[in-house]
Amino acid sequence: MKQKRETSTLVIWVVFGIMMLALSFLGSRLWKLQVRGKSAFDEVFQNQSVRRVRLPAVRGMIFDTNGKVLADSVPNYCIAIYTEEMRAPRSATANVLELMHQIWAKVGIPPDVSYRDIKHHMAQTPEEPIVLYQGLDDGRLGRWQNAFGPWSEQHKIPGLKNHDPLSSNAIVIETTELLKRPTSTAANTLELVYEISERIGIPRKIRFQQIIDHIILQKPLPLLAWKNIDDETMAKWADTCSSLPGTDIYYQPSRTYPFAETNAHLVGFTLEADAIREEEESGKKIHFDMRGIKGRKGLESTYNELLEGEPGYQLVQIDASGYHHRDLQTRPPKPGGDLQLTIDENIQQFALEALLTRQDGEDPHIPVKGACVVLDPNNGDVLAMVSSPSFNPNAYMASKSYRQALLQDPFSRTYHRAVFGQYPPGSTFKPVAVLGALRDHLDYTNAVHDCHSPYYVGKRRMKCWIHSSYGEHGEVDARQALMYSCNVFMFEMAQDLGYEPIRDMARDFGFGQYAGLFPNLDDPQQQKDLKYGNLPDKAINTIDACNMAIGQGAVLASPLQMAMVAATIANGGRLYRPRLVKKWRNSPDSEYNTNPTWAIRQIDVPVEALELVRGGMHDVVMHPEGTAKKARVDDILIAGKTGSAQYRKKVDGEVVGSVHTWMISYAPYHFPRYAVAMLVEDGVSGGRTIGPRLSKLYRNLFEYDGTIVKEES
Amino acid sequence: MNGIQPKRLDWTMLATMLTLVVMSVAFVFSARFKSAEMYGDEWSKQLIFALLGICIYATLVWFDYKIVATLSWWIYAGAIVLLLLVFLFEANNGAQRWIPLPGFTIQPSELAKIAVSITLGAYLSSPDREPDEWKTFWGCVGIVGLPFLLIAAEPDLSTSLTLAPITLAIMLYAGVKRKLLLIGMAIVLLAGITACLWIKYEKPSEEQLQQGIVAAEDQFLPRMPIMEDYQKDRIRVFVRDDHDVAGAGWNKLQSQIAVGSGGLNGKGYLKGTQNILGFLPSAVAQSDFIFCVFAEETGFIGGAFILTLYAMLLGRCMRVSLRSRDEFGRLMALGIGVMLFCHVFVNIAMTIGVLPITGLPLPLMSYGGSYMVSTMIALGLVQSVYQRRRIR
Repeated sequence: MKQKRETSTLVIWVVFGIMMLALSFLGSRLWKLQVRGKSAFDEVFQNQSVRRVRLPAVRGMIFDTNGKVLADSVPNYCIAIYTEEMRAPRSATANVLELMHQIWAKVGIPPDVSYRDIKHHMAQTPEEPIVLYQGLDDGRLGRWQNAFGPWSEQHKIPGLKNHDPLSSNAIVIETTELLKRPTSTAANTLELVYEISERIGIPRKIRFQQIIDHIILQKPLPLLAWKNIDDETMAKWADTCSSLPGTDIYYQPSRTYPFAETNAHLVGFTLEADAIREEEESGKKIHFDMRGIKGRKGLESTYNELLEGEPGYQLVQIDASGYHHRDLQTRPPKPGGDLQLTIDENIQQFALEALLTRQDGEDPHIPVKGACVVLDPNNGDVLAMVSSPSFNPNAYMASKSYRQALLQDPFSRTYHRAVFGQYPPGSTFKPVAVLGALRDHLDYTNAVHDCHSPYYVGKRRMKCWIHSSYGEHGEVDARQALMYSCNVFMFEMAQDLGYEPIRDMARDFGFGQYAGLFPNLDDPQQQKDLKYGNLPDKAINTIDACNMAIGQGAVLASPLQMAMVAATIANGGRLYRPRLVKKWRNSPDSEYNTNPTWAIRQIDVPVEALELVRGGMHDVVMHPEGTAKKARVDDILIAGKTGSAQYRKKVDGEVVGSVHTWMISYAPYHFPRYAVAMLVEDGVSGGRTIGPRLSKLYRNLFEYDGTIVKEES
Repeated sequence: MNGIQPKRLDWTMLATMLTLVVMSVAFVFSARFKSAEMYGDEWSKQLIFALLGICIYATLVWFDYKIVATLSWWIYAGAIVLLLLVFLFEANNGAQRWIPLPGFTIQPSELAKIAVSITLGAYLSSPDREPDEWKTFWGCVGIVGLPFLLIAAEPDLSTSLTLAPITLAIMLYAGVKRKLLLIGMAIVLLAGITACLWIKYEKPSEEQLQQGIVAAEDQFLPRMPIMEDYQKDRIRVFVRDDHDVAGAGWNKLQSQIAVGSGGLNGKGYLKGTQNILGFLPSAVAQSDFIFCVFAEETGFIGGAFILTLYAMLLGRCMRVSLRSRDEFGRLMALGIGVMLFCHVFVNIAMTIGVLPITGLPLPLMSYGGSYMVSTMIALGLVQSVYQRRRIR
């Protein structure tokens, strides 16, 4: 028992010993961390902290159906200045430059001395004063004095004789006072900017205030002094500046569009993304943001989330003054996904080329305003979609002045006419009207009406287009009415059968409804598109019904909408959702997902009605008396329908009548592969303005797909 | 033999305790301090609980601790009931560790540790107990095992693991199967070291690689079975300095930076930038990371001072154990001493990056009413034993 007592006491002593050993160990670790570590890693530990910098991902690509690149990610080379290396004092020239910029901000015009002058002055005669401005006018002097008063009252400004820096309308600074003063980081950075500018021979782009803002807000990040520099500048930089401390080449992700103008409206463009500051991202604070780019228009905007990828981040350790100290850990960004479109870039170019082909009598000083859409009638694929006039997205992204010029452009160059344009369809609506009438009243195939002038509906005189040239169509049936584009037949039809069959058919064709051009990729059923055009619910009287039958009045449609009409007639009544994105993938490593083809509805039309309307459209182009003879291409049967929708517009305060000229068409007639809608604003007539353009487009198309052999010329 | 005899009190132990409490209130205030306009009222709550704790402390000193031995099974049963009650309340961050009462919450596992010390002491010191028998051994294992499992199920593995050294010390002292215990200890230690080394050289998982955690060149071992990724992460953070400083290693790095940046003299009271700028996790700065705030603001001098205070407190507990008039007092004081030591060591070691980060608070310093009171109860019992010590 005695022995057990002793060992037990020993246990207490051992436990006590272990405790003291453990606490001494903690003490020694604390010493190592706090005292020894402090001297060894002073820079690391003193007031340091870790900051998270967001890194943008590489944006995904947009391809055409053959894999041609429509939107590409390229590096945008910048000359960067690392301000943490700009802290060591430099020569007094930096002080002079800093003071010069402060005065410049108050006077508002550039000073009369250059960097070279100042450098020369500081090297030769630093004890003499230097004249910054000479012969200032009274306005500038007043402005300067207003700003100088409060500035100089707050604190003494070295380098300025406090209450009299002016001598006979000149602003003079005393460089002697600046000689011994330590230079600030901002001043050093400014001097380096001037130095680089002089060595490379490019003008300074960054303002002094921007340098100060950067140092206040974004210290650990590189300051991008010149963005978007070209190869020549980069070579000069490498030759003359690479030995300068604190400057380096940095690149930002950027975008380029190889077929700039052709796809400008469709593909859109990107601009610098808004800075995310202090954002909590899944509980992780973002302190700084290397700003990436964000889609702002067109597909770039619609599918921004897919293309953008997932940003990464970098943890940087900053030191006591907030400058970058070292990189800790980087989570690389995940590159964005790719889009492959149904667009064929070749057809896209044919379409634009055809649209821009001027016909006799068109004013060469006004750009062609119009649009062209080519669909595959068998599945709704959008093969081409162009709007004119266009703009250059590359220039748009690069130049602010180009952007501002576009804002004031009278021809609305950034307007995506093909999709968002709203035009009365005019006579191109007639096939829909006839189909509607025949669906409910099939016996109307035999109806014949007499086109005579003058023609009255009630007491109101209504016109067929031929009446303007003192002609008459005489007795026409439905097929001929389409061929001649006779209005009187349509008026009679609307009076006989009412507007309801026409409206119902137009509704089935999707007028005034969403078309789903930009569906959500995950959910093809989702139609989050803009509304297309307009279709009135009812006609208020007979005149209104007659106008509806010829596609005037309140009926509005976009060129895309009319191309869908052509495609639906071509394929026998299946209204397809226009498919623009063929397939997409979420990252460059993953598999492509196919965006399914999807029919909105099958329109139930009697075969006889369809045959009649198609026949009419065939005659429009192929019949010797058709309105669109000029659209013909040798050896190919083409169906189409012209339209000339009259509208009134204001020119210099005066209301004048003008015409939107249209054609919808499909070819080849028996086995259609292309359905086209083309529109030109302020043309002469569908047949004369659009016909030759359409012919050119079809010739190119059929040569491209090998149906006809290219003529040797 | 109830009553307080001032001449027989351990005034050193009492003074040490009170100093720690005063510093606790001051630094809980500092930990919540953001600016002169923004500071929490946690410090006043802490003060109220400290005063409450001192009252209970005085009461326990007044009573003869023998009554505790008599009531030991009731105390044990009460602790178990409280541990069971925890499961009636909603989980907080995936754990059911607290019983919410109006105004404050109690954490029964803190009381359970004291109850285990008392019950084991009473069980082993009863006169008819034969320490070296298997029956006694299994009895001890049963007494510890039940609360251990209940606390582990909350889940709060680190708290339940602190029961192990308490039991071990008491059993070794009482002489229950000493050889077996020592061999067992050696095996556990060896297994622990092996696991740590394995995890250090183990390849990161696919998921971690995707998150941008880069495998070091020496990480080549295959994945270790049994442990979960988050548990491994805690150990990996501790064995590898640079592991995932953005995620799992963030708190360790920040805590180390805070302590390290304190230097010899510290940054001054209310001037700890790591804390004020929110780099220490704000939810636990005043509780689990209070030492970090303290060391940043008072530097090595302050840190060493705190360590000295704890050394004195623990030394005094051991002294009480040596000088107790009976076996029960000795065992209870030893158990309580070891319990306090575990908390002090694990908490400070984790703040300075020596041990993985766990949720053990620092006795008398960390913010938390129920823990403050239960520490006072423990120290009151020890003082009570001392007051009725053997007089040589």
